[in-house]
Amino acid sequence: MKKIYTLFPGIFLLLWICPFLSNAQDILKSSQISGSFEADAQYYMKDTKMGITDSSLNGQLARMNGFTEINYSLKNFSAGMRFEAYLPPLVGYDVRFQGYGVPYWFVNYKIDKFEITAGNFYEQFGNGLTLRTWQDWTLGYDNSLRGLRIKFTPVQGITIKGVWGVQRNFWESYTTGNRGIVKGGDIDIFINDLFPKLKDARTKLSFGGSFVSDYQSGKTTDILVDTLIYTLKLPENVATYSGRVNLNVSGVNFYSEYAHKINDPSSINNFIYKAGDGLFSTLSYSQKGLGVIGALKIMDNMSFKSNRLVTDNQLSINYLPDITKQHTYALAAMYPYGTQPAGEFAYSGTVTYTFKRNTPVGGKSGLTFAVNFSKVNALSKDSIYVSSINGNALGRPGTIGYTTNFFTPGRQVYYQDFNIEIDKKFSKRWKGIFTYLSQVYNMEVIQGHATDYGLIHSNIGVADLTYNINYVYSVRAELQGLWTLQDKGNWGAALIEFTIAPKWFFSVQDQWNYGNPDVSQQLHYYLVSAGYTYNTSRISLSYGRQRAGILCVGGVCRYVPAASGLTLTVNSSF
Amino acid sequence: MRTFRTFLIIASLSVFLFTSCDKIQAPYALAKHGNIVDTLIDLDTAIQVKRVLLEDYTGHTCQNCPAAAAIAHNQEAIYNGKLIVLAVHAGYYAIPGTGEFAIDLRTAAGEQWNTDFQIIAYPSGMVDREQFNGKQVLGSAEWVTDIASIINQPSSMIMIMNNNYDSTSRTVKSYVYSKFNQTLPGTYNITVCVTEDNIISAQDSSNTIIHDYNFRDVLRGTVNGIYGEVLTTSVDPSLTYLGKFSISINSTWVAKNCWILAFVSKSDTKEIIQVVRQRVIAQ
Repeated sequence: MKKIYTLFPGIFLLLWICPFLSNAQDILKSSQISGSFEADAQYYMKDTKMGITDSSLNGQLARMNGFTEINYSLKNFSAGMRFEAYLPPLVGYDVRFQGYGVPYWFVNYKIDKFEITAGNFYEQFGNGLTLRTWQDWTLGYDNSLRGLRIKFTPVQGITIKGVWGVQRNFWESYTTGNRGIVKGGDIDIFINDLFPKLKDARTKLSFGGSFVSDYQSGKTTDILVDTLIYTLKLPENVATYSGRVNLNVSGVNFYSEYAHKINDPSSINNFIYKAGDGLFSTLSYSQKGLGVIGALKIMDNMSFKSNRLVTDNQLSINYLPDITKQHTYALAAMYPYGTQPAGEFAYSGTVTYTFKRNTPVGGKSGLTFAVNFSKVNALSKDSIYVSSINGNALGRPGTIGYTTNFFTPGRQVYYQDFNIEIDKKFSKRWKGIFTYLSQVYNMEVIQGHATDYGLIHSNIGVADLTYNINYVYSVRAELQGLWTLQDKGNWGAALIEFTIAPKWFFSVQDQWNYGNPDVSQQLHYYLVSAGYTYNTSRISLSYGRQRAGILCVGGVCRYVPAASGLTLTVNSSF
Repeated sequence: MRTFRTFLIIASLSVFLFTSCDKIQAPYALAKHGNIVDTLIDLDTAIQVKRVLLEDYTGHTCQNCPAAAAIAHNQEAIYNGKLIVLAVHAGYYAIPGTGEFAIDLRTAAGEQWNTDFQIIAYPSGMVDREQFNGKQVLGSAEWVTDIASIINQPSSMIMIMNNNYDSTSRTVKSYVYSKFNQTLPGTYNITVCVTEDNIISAQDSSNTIIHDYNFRDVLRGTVNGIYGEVLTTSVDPSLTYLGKFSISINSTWVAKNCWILAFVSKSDTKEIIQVVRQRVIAQ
C-alpha cells in the first residue's frame, strides 16, 4: 500500500477531533455522522462443465470486496472518508484493485458564496460530456478527482465551479507521467433566478458552459505502424469545452449539450488527430398518466482520458451518456449496450401511458404501458488521403484519421432494442409485469469478440408475477425466454421468490441455455438465495452458478466471468 | 469589491482557457523508408562540429598494417573526437589463417566496400571517402595531410546518437538524429555500423608476430545494408531526421567494448558528410 493512502485516516481523525476539544456541547448538538458499509465475499468452487478448474481458480478460492464510508458534518463543515479492501478482488474485477486503503477522503466547508472541497470529490459538468467523476461499486468503477474544488455563487442563479486535481487509478500514487492533471471550470446560469420577475414564470430557462483541460507530459511518442516506427507529436494540454441549454415550457422539456474536444491522439482512437465532437439532446413531455421522451446522441471521437495510453474504463475524464434502456431482468440484460467512444449515432424514444382505473383497458386497478425503441449505429466515416505510398486510409495513426458527416449515421448497426412493458395490477393480491423485447446486438463491436454469425437477433419475453398472500408474505415468480439463432442460442429462465416482509426473502432461480449449439454447454445456471434485513442492515447468502457476460451501467461495462460457488453480501448504513 | 472579485475570476478563467490547449499542426508524423522517420525534435542547440571518418583497410596478416593503425589512432588522439577511425578487415590479408591467425574479422560490408572502392594495397584508407588529388583510396602516408585539409571545414549537418542497451536481450536501441544545416542537392544515405575495440589476437608485423595485438575500432558489420538506406531524397533543413535502430550484439562480441557508428553519405559518390558514434554501454 502506498504511503499516501495511509496518511489520510490520521488527518481525517485530527480534523474530526479538533472541534471536540474546543466546544464539546455545541458540537455534539450540531454534529451529524452518517456512514455505510458493504462486504461482498465469494467462495469459488471448481466447475469443470463451466471451464472453471483448479488452475483457473489459482488457489484463491475466497475473495472479498468491501468498503466503509463515514461522513461527518458540523454546520458548514463536512468531512468524509471511505476505506476499501479487495482481498483479493472478486473474479471479474480488475486485479489492480488488490489491496486496501483509503482512496477517498475529503474536507468541505461553505463560507459566504463559496464552497471549498479539498481531497477527493465527484463532480459533473452538464451531462458529463466534458467532465464527470463518479463511482459505481458493482461496476468496480471510480474515477474520482483528488485535488481542489471551488463553487462560487456570485448571485442567485449563477453557479461557477472550478476543479483541479488528478484522478484515482486503483491504488497507484500520482507521479508525473502516469496520468494527467485535470483542471476545469463550469458556469450554470438559471435565468429565472437571475431575474426576479421571471421567478414564477411557467417557462424555465437555463444555460451552461464548461471547459476542461488535461495536462499530460510528453511531447512525442513512438508507435509502430506497418513495420515502421513513427514519432508522433503530442499535445501536452488537451481541452474540451461545451455549451448547454435547458428549456422547460408547460411540461415540455428540451435539453441540449454540444461539446468539442481538440486533437487528442490516444490508444483508443488509434492516435489520430481529428477533433472530437459530441451532441446530446433530449425532448420530453409529461403530464399525468403520459410521458414521452426522445433522445439523440451523436459522439465522434469523444473519449477523453487522463492517460492517453489507457484503453480500459479507468481514468475517463468525461462521460458519454447512454440512451438505450438499461434492463434488469437477467435474459433481457444478456446483451447490454456499451458506449463506443470512437463514434456512434444513437437515438431513442419512450412512451409511457397509464390507462386509468375503471376503463376498458385499465380495469379496476389501471394499467401502465411503456414502449421503448433505441438504435445505435456507427458514425458515417470517409477515408482520407494519406500519401502516395499509402493512398487513402481510414483511421491511420499519425493522420487526421477520417472525415465524417456528423449528422449522418453509418450503415453498421451496433445495437437496436424495441421493447414493450405492461405493468398491471390485477387485484389487491395479484400484479404482473409483462415485457417483450426484440434486440439486435453487434457483439464484435460492443464486446470485441470476433464472431462468425454477424449480428445477434434475439426475441425475449418476460413475465413477472407477484402474489401478496397477506401484508407479510408474498410470492414473486419470473418466467423468461430468449430466442436467437446466433451466439449461444436459446435460453430459458425461471425464478421464484418468497418474501416475509420486512425481514426475510428466499429465492430459487435457474437460467438454462437449452439451445446452445454445443450440447455440452447446455447448462443450468441455478442460484439459491436467502436474505435477512434488519432496519438498515441486510445480509444475503446465495449459492450457485454465474454465467459469463458483461455488466453495463450507463454504457460503461465490465466483463463478468463464469463462476460457481457461495456468495455472502452484507451491507449496512446509519 | 464585488466587481473586482468577479473580474478576478473571469480573468483567471480566461488565462486558464487560453493556456490549456495544444493544437498540433500537420504533419503529425512522417515516415520515410526503413528505419528513417521525420520528426521535429529540435537540434538547433546541438554543437555544430564536423567529424571525419578515417577508414583503415587492414588485415591481421598484413605486416605494414600495425604501423598504419598507429598513425590512425595517433591522429584520432590529436583531434580529440573530431576524427573517428574505422578499421575494415578485408581483402587478402584478412583471410583467416591457421593457428593463432585463425581469427576472422571480415564482414560482408567490409568485403563489398573493399571491392567497390578497388582497394588493392594494404594498408590503405579513405578520409570521408573524399577525393584528394584525384584519389579516393589513400596510402597511410597521405592520411595526416588529407585529414588536416578537411577537418576544420564547417559541418554540413548535425548528428546526435543515443544508445540504450538491454543486457538481457543483448540488444541496443540506437536513435540517430540528423539535421542538415543547409539545403544540399541529391540523395543522402545513412549507414549504421557496429564496431568493437580491444579484440586481442595475433597480428603479423614487419619484424615479428605480435601475439596479443589489440585490434581497435574493428568493423563488426552494418545494420541497415552495405550502404545503409536512404535518409532523404530531398534535403529539408527544417526537419530533423530520426533513425531508430534495434541492433543485436552478437554473443561473441564484448558489449562494453562495442560502439554504434553512423555516417551520412551522398548516395552517388559515397562521400561522407558527417559521422557520429557512441558506446553501446555508456562509460
